[in-house]
Amino acid sequence: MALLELRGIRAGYGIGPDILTDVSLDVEAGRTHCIIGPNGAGKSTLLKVISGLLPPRAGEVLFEGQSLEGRRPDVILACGVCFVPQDRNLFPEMSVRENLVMGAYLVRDRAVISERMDRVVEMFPILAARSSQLAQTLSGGEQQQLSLARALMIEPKVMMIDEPSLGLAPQVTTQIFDVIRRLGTEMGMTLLLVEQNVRMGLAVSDWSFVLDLGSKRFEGPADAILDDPRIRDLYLGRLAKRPEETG
Amino acid sequence: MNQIIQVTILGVLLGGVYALMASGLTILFGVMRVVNIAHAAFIVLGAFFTYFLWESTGLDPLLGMFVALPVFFIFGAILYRLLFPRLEGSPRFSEMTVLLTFGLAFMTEGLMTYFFTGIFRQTTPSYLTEAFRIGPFFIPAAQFYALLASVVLLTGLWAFLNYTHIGYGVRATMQNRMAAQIVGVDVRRVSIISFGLGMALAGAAGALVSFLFPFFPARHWQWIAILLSLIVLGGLGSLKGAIVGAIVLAVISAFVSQYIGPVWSPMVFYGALFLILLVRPQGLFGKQVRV
Repeated sequence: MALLELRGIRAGYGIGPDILTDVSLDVEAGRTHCIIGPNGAGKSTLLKVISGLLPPRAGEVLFEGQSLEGRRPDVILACGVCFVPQDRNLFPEMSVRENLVMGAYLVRDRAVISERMDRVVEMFPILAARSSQLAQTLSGGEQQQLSLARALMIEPKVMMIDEPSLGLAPQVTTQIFDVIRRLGTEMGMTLLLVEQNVRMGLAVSDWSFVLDLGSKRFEGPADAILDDPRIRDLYLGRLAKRPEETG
Repeated sequence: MNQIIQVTILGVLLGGVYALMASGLTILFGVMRVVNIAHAAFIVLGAFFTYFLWESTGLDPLLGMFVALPVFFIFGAILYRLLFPRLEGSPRFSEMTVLLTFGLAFMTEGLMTYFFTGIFRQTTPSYLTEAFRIGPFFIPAAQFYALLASVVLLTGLWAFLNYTHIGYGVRATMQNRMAAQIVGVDVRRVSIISFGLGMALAGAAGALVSFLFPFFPARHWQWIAILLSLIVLGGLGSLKGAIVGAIVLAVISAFVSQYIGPVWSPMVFYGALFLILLVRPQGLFGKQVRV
């Protein structure tokens, strides 16, 4: 049994069209997974569905074999599924420290919170130096680190990270990906990554899903998937035009 | 010079009460993006509540305030559960809440007129006509007590927001609703509590209004106009902004009232509203909305 299973997910926003038409995939415990695919494939939408922010129109998400259907985002988070969205989503008028405390909102024990804070700050030393600064005064790279650190405060079983490199300088991106790699290899965390910078995303991943036009086209080991001829087709847009040939 | 200080004192006294009246409104907007047009109508309802409590039991309106707080909190939470879930998820949520609360304002006014009639009322506790003298200045006791009560309540609100677990959740939701959701804040519950809180603050403000101003059901239109300009000036959803805006505008209006004429003092609020929308649409403490 996979840790996280998606079965026939169909989803969209408001009264708009389906963004995801039919997605089924398995996320295995202890692995790092990367979802790749062209713009508008529905990658971010998929993460929102799993985190409970967007209820699917059809299909279901199973975590440890249990259906998450109808559960609120905070309940899903309490199960251990945590989401780091792409626009950082910090609390701008709270200090770095308060943002970290908010990350452990579901943990009521102060001793546990401060112990986790020490551990998290060790991974991101810059946050210790910025501890009393307001989040809105941080640079983009620091904000991304805070966003990851805040997510770690809940000690999730699965961490979903959406576009960690978005808007960051290459050097900062490398730092961020070092941390992501460590989360996967040293800490054995299950990760689900969405990344535009495909090579970078795949380099830290074990497994990869290719998403296009709202459904999963194929999947495979991360180190081999770029050699798949279907990838070239996908990014050149041929698959998008004539899905019946390859689908 | 003495007169200038005296007018400033009166302005600050009034401003403190305006700040309390506006605080519930700005919290509702901050947490839920609800523009509660009915807020002042609920303040009038709070004034009636305190009035009848005072009339039937002789309970001082300042103490009546502490009865109004929990009663109105529960009333607010129930009202929210009854009316707002239908609007949640609507892509035009804020606009819809304007329509809904506009209707609520009319309904509240209509019911109050039906049951309580449209005559002017006022609670008249013994201190209503008293005043303290400090040197050459005089401080009306009623206004002073009202300011004190406002300071106590606003301090309590501040402590609640900054030092309690659910207060953190409310503040987080005000600053970034999506982020609050992803760290596990149950924003639905926060919304219900905030609506109850906004209503409790309206009820408490009503208790003070009951002895500060003669009131009648339709009086709320005048107040909501003033309160909306206050919270726009302060920056929608900013508590600090609403308080600063309330005191600044109340002081200015006190001067206008003294030196130009009382008829012109409401103009200060509308003038400020136009000016702020032209010069700094995000308000004094508001965040610039990115497009």
